[in-house]
Amino acid sequence: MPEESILTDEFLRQLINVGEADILVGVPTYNNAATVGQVVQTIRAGLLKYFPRERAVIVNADGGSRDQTPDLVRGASINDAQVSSDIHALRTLHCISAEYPGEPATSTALRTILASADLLRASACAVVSPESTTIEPDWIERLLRPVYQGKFDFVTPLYRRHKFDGLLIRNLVYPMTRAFYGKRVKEPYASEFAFSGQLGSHFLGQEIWVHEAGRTGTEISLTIAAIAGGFRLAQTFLGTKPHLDARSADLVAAMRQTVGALFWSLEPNFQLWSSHADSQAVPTLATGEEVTLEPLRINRKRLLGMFHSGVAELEPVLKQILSATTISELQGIATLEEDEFSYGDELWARTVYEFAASYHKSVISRDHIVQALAPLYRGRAFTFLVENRESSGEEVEQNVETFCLTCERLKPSLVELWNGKK
Amino acid sequence: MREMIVNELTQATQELIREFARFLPRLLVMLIVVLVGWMIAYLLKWILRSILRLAKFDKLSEGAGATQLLNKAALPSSTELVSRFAFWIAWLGFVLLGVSALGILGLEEYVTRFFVFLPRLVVALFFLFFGLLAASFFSRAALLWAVNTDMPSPRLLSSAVRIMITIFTASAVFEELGLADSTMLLAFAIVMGAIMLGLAIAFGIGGQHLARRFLESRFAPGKKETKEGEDELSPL
Amino acid sequence: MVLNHTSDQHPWFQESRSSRDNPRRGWYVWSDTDTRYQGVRIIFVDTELSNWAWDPVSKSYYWHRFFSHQPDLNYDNPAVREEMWKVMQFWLELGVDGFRLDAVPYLVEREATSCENLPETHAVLKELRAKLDKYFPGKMLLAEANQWPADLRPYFADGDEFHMAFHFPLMPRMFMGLKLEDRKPITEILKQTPHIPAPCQWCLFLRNHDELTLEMVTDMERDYMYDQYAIDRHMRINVGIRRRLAPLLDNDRRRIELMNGMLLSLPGTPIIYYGDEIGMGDNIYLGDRNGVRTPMQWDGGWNGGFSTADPESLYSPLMLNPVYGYQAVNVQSQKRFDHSLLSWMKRIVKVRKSTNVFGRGSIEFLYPANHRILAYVRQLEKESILVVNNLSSTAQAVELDLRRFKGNILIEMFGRNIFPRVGDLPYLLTLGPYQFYWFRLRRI
Repeated sequence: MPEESILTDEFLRQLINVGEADILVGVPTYNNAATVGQVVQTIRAGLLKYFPRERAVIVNADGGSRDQTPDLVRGASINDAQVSSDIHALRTLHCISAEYPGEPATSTALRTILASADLLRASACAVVSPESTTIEPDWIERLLRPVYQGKFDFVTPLYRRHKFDGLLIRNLVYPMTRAFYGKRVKEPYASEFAFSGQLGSHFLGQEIWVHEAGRTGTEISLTIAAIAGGFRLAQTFLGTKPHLDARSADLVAAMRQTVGALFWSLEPNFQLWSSHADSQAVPTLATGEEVTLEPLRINRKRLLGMFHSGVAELEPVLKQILSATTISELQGIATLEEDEFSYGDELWARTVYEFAASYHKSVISRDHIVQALAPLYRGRAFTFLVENRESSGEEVEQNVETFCLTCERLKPSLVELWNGKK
Repeated sequence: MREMIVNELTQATQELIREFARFLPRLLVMLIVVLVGWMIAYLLKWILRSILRLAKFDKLSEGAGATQLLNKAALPSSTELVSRFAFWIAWLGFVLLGVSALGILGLEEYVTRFFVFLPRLVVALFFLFFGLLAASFFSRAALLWAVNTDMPSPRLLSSAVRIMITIFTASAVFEELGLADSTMLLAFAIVMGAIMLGLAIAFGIGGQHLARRFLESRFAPGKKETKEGEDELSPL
Repeated sequence: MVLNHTSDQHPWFQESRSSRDNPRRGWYVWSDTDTRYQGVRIIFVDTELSNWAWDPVSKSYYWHRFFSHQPDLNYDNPAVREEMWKVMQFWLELGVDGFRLDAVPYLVEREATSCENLPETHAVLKELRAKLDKYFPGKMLLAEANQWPADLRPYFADGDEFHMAFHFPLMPRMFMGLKLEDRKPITEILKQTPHIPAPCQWCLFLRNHDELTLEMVTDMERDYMYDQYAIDRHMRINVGIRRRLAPLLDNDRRRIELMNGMLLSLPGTPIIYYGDEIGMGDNIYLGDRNGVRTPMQWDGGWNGGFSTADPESLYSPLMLNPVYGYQAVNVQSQKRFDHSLLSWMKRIVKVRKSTNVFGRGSIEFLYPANHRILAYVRQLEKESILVVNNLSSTAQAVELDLRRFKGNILIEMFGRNIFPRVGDLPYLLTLGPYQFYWFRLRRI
């Protein structure tokens, strides 16, 4: 069935002019004029410093920005048509920017970047978020060098972040991805990552582009595709995690992009994830201090309140998703006082697995299943905040590790649920 | 005199027998039609049941909440119900066809009216089914949204949505069936109008803050959820 | 002609060193210490450690910018200047057309300077030029000055110093652009090239008898050139690469043609180094820069037709390998065939000579988005020529903005076939690997 190309004529013309590239850095944008200029300049500095001889290109897939975003990207190009320049570069550096068709969506932007990498035959590619204001030139080196040297196919980042930042990743996405797919990728939903040309072509051929769930959570779908495809993974420490925009502070949207995509991926990959029990470490190429401990003021009460409200109000929905035992346990902890409240590792793992099984069976609309998990996650987040209030970075990591092992231990129960009775 | 009575009786009997004899083939035809109709209806039921099973109709109806309703009423599953319903309708049709073969006047008109009514019944049932499905889906969506955005009284909102959609569905069904349609329509309009007016007043006067919060979260996404004096945490 | 220095065997030096009172003492630059002119760069970095050499005879130091057996003459001495003019006179009277004056930036030294390109040096040269114009009008002076374009400009002065100068910085960048498959190094250096007086001219070249110098490039560029063109240490000398044109280009006929095509179409007078017109090879195992100075290969016979002497007595061994040896590469065999490099060179020279535009015209670069294409327009009065070069090893498509020339028909200059007329849309051309086009723009 012929479908509309995601590459407009204008984009294609710009790709023809680039011709071929060794290194490609993709930046998906939509109205990011506030930050993209600095990000692109830093990328350029990194390319000039660490890959001066390689043919490099910065590809901006834009969703139709009405601000200066495309001009800011193009302004970073280095070529002989410019009037004067203080930059000493051996070669031309193309910075191309074009709008992809359709409405702004990260999945279309990423797909465009993958298509560009494929057409330009780039051997090492990276994607960088336009909001990564904490980026340094050596991030380019750390992400791309292992891929360019041909040692790895997929490099995910490790960040320095506050111990309470990224709770969803720490309490759900990382442990579950690890339990399901057997690889300890700490940031499966990354705003910066690198991949080889070969892996990029593999990504392009995936089914995720035509399915709604795959499209919403493209980043994590790509990570899963890399693991499922048996590619060589690595992770590397970059620096301080950039703050994403407020839109992704919305929990339900975040869950759709991570948990929804994760659950959806379980269908086609059943053979893979059901056949092994434990997980393997992923080579870590550079280390750094990952957990910072500065004091934060967080409204924990609100989280607990939303948990209570969720358990109470969503009872009819939860009854369709969870087993009777789990529901009664949840109702049990919902009666506890704030200082006694604890949403333990095992209960939480079981909860998530039952949700996964119900998602597979589509007991109700799948999107509703994902939404129903949100209030329960808030209860878990509350417990995590309380238990790690005084913890050091290492202690936090240890607690997360313990939870991951619990998930791995309980995985067979999901396989049972999957195949058997409801 | 006795001869006349006997003659008349004989004639009457003969008439009767003749009538009967004339009637018998028709009866026979009717019985054949009914029998054949039963077989066809049974076949239809079997085919329909297979199709619905393949299309996982049960699951769909579970989503509509129909299964729960049926279970409560101790009725069989949706697939079974629909197939049996189809059987009965089909067989009834054949029976009526057979009856019309009897040639009894007056009945014909009813038969015709039945066959005219049939498609509208099917359409109405469609409306009902999908209306209930929609009510269930949207009420649940409203419930989840309200819970996740920390709105007060999520169940109330969810029920309100369900009721509104159900009422709308009911009035559509009644209109299709032509039963007291104008009454239903009027009732629906009144209820809807009252609800809308009430909401408008409530929103405008009492729900200012709610309205502002709602609009802000939709159109100014830069505003964060947290209050003054709190730090922002990103789940990712 | 070498102005700057003589051999240490020269009678002048022998006299100068014999004693401090010798009349020729002041003909060279002597010092009791080796600390004068501190910080001046050494040119032959591979062999020399200092610009001063100790003379045991006169127990003092003498200044030499090149080898220690090449002491610098002292141009502050009017007697030296007078004598050098007499040398030039000798040759002019014999009938030469002009001089390639070697090592001109280094004539005069002054404390606390780089001792290169000093105003006093320019004064000496202007003096020589004035005498030349007075006594031998119509003769030419060509400067060999390996300097940045801005530093070369003074050698033209107001048209009263040199007539021509070698454009050193362009040459390595042509090789670099070819390897990078990117026109950026070439266009940038030409953008930085200053305008020169009307009667003056640049001298362009690809190779010469010296090493392919990498003095006038950045460190990053130098490392790149070494890695691409001289990975074998034997190929490197001083700050350059001692290889001939054909071996540098992997004996690739297409690349040799492309480089010659650029040489003959960029603004300036082209110089072709002997032997490069037939694609001679080099011998990197000979010392110094002698690897590119092997005997000219005239034919496949005795000593390659160079000399009837015994082969063992030749000043340099002949090239013998099956690829570049004199039996494979020689003038005689190439003359026989139309497709040989020699025949091709003759044809392209003929095409170049068919118009004055290449020699005298202006240059305007087009900057197509495809950075592998080097395209420019040469113009002289009403004539315009479009040159398009594909610097990459793969086929390319390019869209040229020729709106200014709308309505012109393109006529390819080698075959003289007509190409489509320039319209409103960008002009699309496709080129094979290393291919180039010369188009005359004609409006009829």
